[in-house]
Amino acid sequence: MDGLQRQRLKIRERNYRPYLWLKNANMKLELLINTIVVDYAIKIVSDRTKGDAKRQIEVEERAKKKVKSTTTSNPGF
Amino acid sequence: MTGVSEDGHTPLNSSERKKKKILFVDDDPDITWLSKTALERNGFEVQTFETPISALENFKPGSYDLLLLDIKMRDMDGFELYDKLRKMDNNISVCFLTAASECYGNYKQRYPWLAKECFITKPVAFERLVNTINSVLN
Repeated sequence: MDGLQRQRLKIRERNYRPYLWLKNANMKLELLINTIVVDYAIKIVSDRTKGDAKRQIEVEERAKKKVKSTTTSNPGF
Repeated sequence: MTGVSEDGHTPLNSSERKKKKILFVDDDPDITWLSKTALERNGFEVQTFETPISALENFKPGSYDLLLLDIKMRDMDGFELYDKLRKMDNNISVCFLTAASECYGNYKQRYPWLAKECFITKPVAFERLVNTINSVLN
């Protein structure tokens, strides 16, 4: 390999580097979606489910209190 | 991934199945960490190394089911590393995971017995990566 060919190869490799970097970055993004984002999605769904269950209990307790207060204020009820 | 118990009837759940062990070598620490986390979530046991030398030093023959190797690394390329590891464990399966798709010609020439799917180019959809690993392991 002469000097010119070596120089051409060096330039080709240098030009190719950003392309490789981009491919690696895409791979990282794909893996990131399958790790942190999935964890976050699970957390959101779990929090929402817990929140819904808590709200349901509160609604039921309020309803019970309401029934109790209605029956005590109207003994004939 | 599906499995059955020794009687051949009762399906096994993921905790009952023996985890397949993968040795992953890539010089990018982000890729190794993310792949380890994502693959472990999918029921694999993954050991990672960031240099081929450390992988060679810590390699225990017979303790891995699959090698997942990057090709372009600093001290030694993935092909050379595979040749050395294969000398220690001849039965081990391999998948090359690389962004350098131009290495495919060299791969085919060097390992004509290996399947086309054993050469995975980055970026790859994670689901496809898991499917490929499973098909190579089976």
